Amino acid sequence: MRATQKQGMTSLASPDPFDSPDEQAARWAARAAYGEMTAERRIALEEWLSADRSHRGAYLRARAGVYAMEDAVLDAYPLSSDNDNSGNGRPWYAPLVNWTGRTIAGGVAIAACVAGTIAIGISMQSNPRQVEAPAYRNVALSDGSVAVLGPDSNISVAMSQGVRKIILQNGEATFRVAKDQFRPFVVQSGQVYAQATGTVYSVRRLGANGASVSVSEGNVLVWTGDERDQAVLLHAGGKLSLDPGATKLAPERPAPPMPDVAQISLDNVPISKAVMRFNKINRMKIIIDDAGVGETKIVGLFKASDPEQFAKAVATITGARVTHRDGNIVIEM
Amino acid sequence: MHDERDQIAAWVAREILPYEGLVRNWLARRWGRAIDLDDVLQEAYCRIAELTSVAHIENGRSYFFKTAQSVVMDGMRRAKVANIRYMTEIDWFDVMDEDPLADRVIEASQELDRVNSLLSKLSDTCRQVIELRRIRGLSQRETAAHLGVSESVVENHIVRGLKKVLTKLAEQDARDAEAGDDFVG
Repeated sequence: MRATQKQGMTSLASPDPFDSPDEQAARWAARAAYGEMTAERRIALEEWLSADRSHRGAYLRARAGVYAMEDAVLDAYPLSSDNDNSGNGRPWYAPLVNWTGRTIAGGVAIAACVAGTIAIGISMQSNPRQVEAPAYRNVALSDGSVAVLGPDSNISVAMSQGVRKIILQNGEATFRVAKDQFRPFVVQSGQVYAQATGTVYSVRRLGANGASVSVSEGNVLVWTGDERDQAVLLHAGGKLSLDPGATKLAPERPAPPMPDVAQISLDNVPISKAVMRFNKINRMKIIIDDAGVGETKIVGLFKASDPEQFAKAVATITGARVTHRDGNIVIEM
Repeated sequence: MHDERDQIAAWVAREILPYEGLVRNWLARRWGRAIDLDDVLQEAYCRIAELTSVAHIENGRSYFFKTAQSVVMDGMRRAKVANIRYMTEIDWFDVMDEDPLADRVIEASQELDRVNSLLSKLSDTCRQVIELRRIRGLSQRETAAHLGVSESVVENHIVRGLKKVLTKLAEQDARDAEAGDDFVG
């Protein structure tokens, strides 16, 4: 976008003030997400943001860009990482770096709480003097994480060397996860798993097998059963409901079942592009035998399952004719 | 302080950024040289940055189009341009269509193309940094140590990747139009 030079940047720690706002925004967004934000830099960022209104827009765009970039990488990630891991039989949660000192220290601490699965039940009321059961209970876990349990909620905790596993038996719980990169924190609700390293997120039990996961800070990976290679990454503000008993996963808004007669709405798009949509979902393909027809634009609402009807409309608009060849529809002049 | 902002940025990544190329093309088609495209988009992002919540916005794509349009309108009103072209009902059909679900499903494959084209813009280091930080949960320092580079090198890889991704997203629509031609028999 427009390169206007703004005055008033003095801190040496700040991105070059003579770069365009977009350039500076990209540097700040990268630094906030991947660099070290010292108190000084935080102030410099606030100064930069308040120096010009356009900086705030550029910064938002750049920060969204960081998420888009992360999504692209994390979407592709399970494919490559699982290949790495399957070869030598390492479990998926094996730490990447082996710092012997730390691992041993961790092992000792874990030995103390290897009591297997500890059930945490209703007895853990935080304030016994309160007669009416408090709606929410705070449960401190041995690794320093905190679980906030909703009413009628129960969890089981199993801390082991490689993984911190929580099973949500029913109800709802929010987890403030203590950071431990060597032991992923995995919450299981039915067949749904949600994993984080250090973050805040809630899991709500959904039916017999499902869960609804919402993330307030950081990132959480969510998957069902052994389909970890198809995990969905949720960012702060993200929410995902999965009920494996029913259908496959529906990210974001749980979509209604697909209508029998889906429609394709075309708003002034080239016929060639519209044909592409029809051909993706129908066995009977439409072939356009004339470049001029392909370029013509079309507006309308068509049954997705009826390429014939669409072809006729195209013919009417362009003056072409519809024929059939090898079970396909051909539009030609 | 960053909670709300993080949520809005994540929302912009999903609902606004992917349509930037589309909005840019649409503005160019509709108003051509009467407006400065960069200015309009910049202002649209500023207005979105002023939102304190996005919970009330049902469709980010439509919201982006409407915001860009009102930026143009405000600009013209200020400049007292005589030939303001108001949107007619039919014009909105170009913009506001809610693609039926079947189409959305089909678009999943285009989404995959999109992801792949973004990935192709990133250096291996940039990719590794994201994996180490976001999946393994390593700190900035640990990430740099693992890759055997300095922390500022890590940051620079991210900056470069980010700039390429943002450029790519701005051009996205042009690429989609080209892809469509392959299917003409």
